[in-house]
Amino acid sequence: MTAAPPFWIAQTVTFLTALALVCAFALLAFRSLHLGIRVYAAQSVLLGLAGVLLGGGGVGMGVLAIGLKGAVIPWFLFKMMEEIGVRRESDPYVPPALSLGVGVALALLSYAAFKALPGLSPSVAGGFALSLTLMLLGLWSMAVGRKVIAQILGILVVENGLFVAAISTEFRLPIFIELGLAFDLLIAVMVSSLLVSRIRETYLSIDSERLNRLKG
Amino acid sequence: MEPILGAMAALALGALASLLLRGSPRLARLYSCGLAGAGCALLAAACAAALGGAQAAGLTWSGWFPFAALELRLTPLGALFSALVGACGLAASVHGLSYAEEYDHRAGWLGFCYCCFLPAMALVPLAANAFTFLFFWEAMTLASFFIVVLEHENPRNRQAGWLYLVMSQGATVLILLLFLRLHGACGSWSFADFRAAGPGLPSRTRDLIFLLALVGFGTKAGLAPLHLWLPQAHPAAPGHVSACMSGVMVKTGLYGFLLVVFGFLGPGPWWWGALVLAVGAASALLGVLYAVLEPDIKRLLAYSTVENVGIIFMAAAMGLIFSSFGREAAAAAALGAALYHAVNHAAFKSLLFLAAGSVAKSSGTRDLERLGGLIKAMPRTALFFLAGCLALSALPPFNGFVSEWLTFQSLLSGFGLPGTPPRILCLLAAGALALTGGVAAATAVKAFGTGFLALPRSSGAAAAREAGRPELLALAVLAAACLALGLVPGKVLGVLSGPVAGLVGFGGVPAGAASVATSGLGGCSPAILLAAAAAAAAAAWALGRRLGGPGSARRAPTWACGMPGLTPRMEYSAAAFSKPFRRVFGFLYQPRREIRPSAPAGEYFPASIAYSAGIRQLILETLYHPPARVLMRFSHAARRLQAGSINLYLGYLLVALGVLLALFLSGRLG
Amino acid sequence: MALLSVCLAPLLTALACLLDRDDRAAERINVMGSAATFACAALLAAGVLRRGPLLAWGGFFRADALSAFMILIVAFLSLVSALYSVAYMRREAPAGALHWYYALYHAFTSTMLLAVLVDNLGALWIAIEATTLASTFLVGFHRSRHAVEAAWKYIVLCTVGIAFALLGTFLFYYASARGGAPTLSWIGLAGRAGELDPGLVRLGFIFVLFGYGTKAGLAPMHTWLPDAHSQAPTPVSALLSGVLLKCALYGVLRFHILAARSLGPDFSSRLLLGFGLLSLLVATPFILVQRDFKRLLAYHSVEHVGIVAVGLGFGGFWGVYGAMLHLLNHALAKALLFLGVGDIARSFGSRRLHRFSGVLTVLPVTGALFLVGALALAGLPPLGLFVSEFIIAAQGMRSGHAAACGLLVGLIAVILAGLLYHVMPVALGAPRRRPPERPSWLESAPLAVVAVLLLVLGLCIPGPLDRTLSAIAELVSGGPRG
Repeated sequence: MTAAPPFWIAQTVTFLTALALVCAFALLAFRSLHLGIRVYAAQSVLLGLAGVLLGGGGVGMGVLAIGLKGAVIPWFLFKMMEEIGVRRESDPYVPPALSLGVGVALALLSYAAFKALPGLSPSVAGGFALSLTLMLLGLWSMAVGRKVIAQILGILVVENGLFVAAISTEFRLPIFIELGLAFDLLIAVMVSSLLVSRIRETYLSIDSERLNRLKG
Repeated sequence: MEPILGAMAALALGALASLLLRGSPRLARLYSCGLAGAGCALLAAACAAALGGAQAAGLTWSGWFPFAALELRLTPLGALFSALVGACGLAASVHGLSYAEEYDHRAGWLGFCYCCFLPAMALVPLAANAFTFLFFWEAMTLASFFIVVLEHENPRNRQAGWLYLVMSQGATVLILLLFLRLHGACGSWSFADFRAAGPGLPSRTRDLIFLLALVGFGTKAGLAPLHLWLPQAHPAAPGHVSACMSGVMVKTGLYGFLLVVFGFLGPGPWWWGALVLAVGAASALLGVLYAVLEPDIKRLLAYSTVENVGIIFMAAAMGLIFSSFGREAAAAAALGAALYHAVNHAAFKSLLFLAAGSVAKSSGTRDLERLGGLIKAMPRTALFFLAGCLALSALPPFNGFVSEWLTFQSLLSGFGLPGTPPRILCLLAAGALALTGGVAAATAVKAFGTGFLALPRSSGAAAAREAGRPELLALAVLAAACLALGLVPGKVLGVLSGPVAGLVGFGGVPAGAASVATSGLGGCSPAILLAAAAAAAAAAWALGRRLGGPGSARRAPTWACGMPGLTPRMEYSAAAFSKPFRRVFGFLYQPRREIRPSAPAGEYFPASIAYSAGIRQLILETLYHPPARVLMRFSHAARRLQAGSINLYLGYLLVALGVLLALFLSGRLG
Repeated sequence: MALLSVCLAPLLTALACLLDRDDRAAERINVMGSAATFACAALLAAGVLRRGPLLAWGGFFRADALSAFMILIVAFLSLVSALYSVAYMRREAPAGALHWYYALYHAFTSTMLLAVLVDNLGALWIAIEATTLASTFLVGFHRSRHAVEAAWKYIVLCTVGIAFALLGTFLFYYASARGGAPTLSWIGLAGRAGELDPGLVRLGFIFVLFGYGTKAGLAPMHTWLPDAHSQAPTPVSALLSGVLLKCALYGVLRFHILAARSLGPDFSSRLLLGFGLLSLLVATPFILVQRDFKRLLAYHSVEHVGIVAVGLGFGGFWGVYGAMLHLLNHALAKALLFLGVGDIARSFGSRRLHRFSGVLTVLPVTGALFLVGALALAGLPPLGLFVSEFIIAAQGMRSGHAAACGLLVGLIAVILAGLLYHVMPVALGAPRRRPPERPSWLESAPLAVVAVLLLVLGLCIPGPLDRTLSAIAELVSGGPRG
């Protein structure tokens, strides 16, 4: 078990994670996909920095996060959007105000869930709560987003939530788990993009509304 | 137990031979029916020997399944029903030797299913634990299902098979729940432990088990309103198998009911008996009222099965009522009547179904409106069919008379019960039984009269030839059995006292239940009646010869009121014969009739008339269709949940997670 | 050694198929590879049965009775589907894509075997995520509109679902820190189960059940299932329905053992029971009105996974025994039916099965096998599912869940009515047209073997199987046979 981090680190980490949370809410509010990808990139960088600051096992993961999720994956997504030629705007299913309201409710729910566990130290509880919040917000943004890219973004945000859970445990995760997670993320993005291009071929659109032939 | 195992081995051999000889249908038929007959004979003999015995031989196979063993035990009650299987199976197999030629295109498969059906049905009454019972019960249902859909090209057969299997499975579910409840109470699967634990259960549990038994076993037995599968499934199967199904398979339902209610639960509140009495009376009435209108001869017989099952359950209900008031002797007598009628019904219904099968094969049709005149073409078959009809109508000296008489006596003895409601109920039930008897007689007259008498109504009937010798042999034996069972009721009741003792715990049917039941209500001995009638007939004939002188009979065509000749168009049709019933009971049938003359020159000189008539299937439409419609509408509505939108699906995920977290927070998850 | 070879064999097969571009060679490699995998799996299972749990790589891989049971199911069904694929895909696959199919197929198999053999719970998650990735392109293999849509729904829903399972795994990892160095090893966690923080275990199990339950097809997270299983090529559908769902249930089961040891059996059993009954309730209306046969079978998978969950929820020795037996029986029956349906659809040249009739008359062997599979799936004796459903129902009544038991048995009966209503017109009746071709013996032989196995399992439970199931039941319920 590593010693509790010094005060300034704890404060900075809290600040960074709060900003990351704001990014998640921003995803719900913005309609533009390009902006969404940029917000995701920002969130990944913020969380990566937090990981580096926390030290221990978080350094490696943080660097990996900043590199992979802050740069490589967004570049990949932008390239994919260029190839597909998607429109920049998309109307979500639920108006942004309501969407944000639900997001806030989900955040409260997850914080309450971890508050109810007496066995956790506050910082760890906060970390896990943040991770659950990010995951729920990611899931919610997938549910309301119209284009399939929104669903990919949602998965990525969910994975960010997992990243937060991984770094908030205070102990190192075995290295192969970290590598496995990163590798898995990369493959998932590649597979998704391949599928998206196929969707584009067959449906001539990436509106997830069109993907509703299989019913009942 | 060894002879029974030998019987099973013979049947298994028959099944195997059937499969192997698929290529040559005649050999498959001969081997399967022959071996089945041999096995059934062995089975009947072994079980008959065990009827009186108190010792219960048993057999246990364990190691096949880790949680329960396959246990068989030869109890008197079980031996009775297995003996019935053996006897009817023997008759059906002998009949099938020549009858089943009609199904030679599927001889191998029919023989295989038949040789699996019989042992499964025979082993159900011999099962000594719940798992064995359910195993053979399901096997019996499945084997008979395959036989029902043997001619699956006909959509009606497929429909019949589906309804049969679904309703049987519904019944099995209830029976399974019943056994599981008993198992939960005493921790073991064996019937002996159920017997010990049953009386001690709380009364609500006992009520539940009683209801499950009534509905579950009642469906299999064919009690209304759960009888709808019967008139469809029994006619769809080949004739010799229909005989087994009507004659014996419904009796396994009766066996199960008696086993659970009398054997495991013991005496209960009298409303149990009242409910069964009401249901039995309803079945009897409904069965016979639909039988009298039915033009298809096999469906007519199937409805008549529903009627007779109703009568059997009425007698069993009296047994329940008497035992709940502590009148053990009367209960024993009532149960004796019930079992007697079960045996009788097996005998005469098998006889009738086998004869109907021969008729259908010979003339090519089952429709009474197209039969007729068969008494000249198939005299012996007609004679045996007549015997069956007389038994069906409960006329002495045949067996139906004795058991219905005993049932009447049980019902009328209900006047001796304390309190007014039981008395009124018994009175009403006796009235229902009387009405049933009358309509049943009319049905029998219609079946025999329309089918066999007068002139053939179609070319098929005109071309009919006498049934083959094995068929006639089977029919003759069954007819003789009907007569014999009617002539020596005292002996039969004595034989039945073993099984009854197992049920009621009383010292069996009291010596000469005839005497117990008849004290104060009159009794008779059919044998004496028959002898007296024969003597009177002989005396009348002799007197007539003496007084009338040597006469000679002159043969001439029947007088046709001056018309040039008789044609089949001048005969009663089956529908016309039953018209009075259609009118009297119109509230039940709700018949509709449509006559559309095409009238170019007024209604007195139509060029052609179109006529259609039908009755409403009241039970089907009021009890079966509404729930089915509701279920289907609900299902169609539920399909909209899977709307195809991935966003919706993700929403479901979120909602599920949200609910889980909320439950966790509220502490409800424990 | 056997442990590693079981995982390596399919991987090597996949690699070989990928490198060798020739379709015929890929088919041969496929058959040999599947047979080799099955042989290794059988050896491993025999070893575990005789000597107890086996370890490899310093405890990273661990095969106990449960793992041995699962790898036998996976390897056997993979072999059956692989044999079937040879003739089936020859006609269905576009030219040149066949070796991709076999490569993906064996990669998929290897990920499933990996999931079942690792002791580390994080590696378990990675393997299960890998199964999703490996099978996505198998689901979308046909490149039709519907297949692409199904593949998309599959990957999105499953990936996001099991992400929550990883969160749950992290919670367990954190909870294990109380007793010493934190560990992700299952056997380590099982040993310390009494010291884990109960709140964390509760929340963690909720997430794991939700996550792996999505992959297993528990309602209401099952919505990807009908699409994915119906659009995939038939041999892949058989594997997805028959085996992949069971691997996800395996994940749930491992955590269920931990939760039961830590909190007592009530918490996780109640959750499993709830999800199981909900799955049954949700599946029933869809089965009643389903015309597309492969979707019908997919909903049946939801139903039977629900039954397994209910069996686990009833708990006790016999509940788990029945659930595991049902897992095996359902895998066999589902494979038999999917492959049979595939045969019929291919012989007639169309997937619209409800337009056919009289299959039994024109294709006797295939029709008979199809009918046997349908009767098995409906739970009729003397086929296997009757026995396992009986055991589960008996345990339900014994453990006091009378209402749930009644609901279970009642819904099974309703579903039987629906299944037979759809199957009987297809199998029986007068044939409307003759099929242009008949299935080859290579396609029918594996089906016949599976049918015989179902029959055998309906008549008895062989000794080795009984010992394996008892070992698993003792492991999960903690008590001896009672």
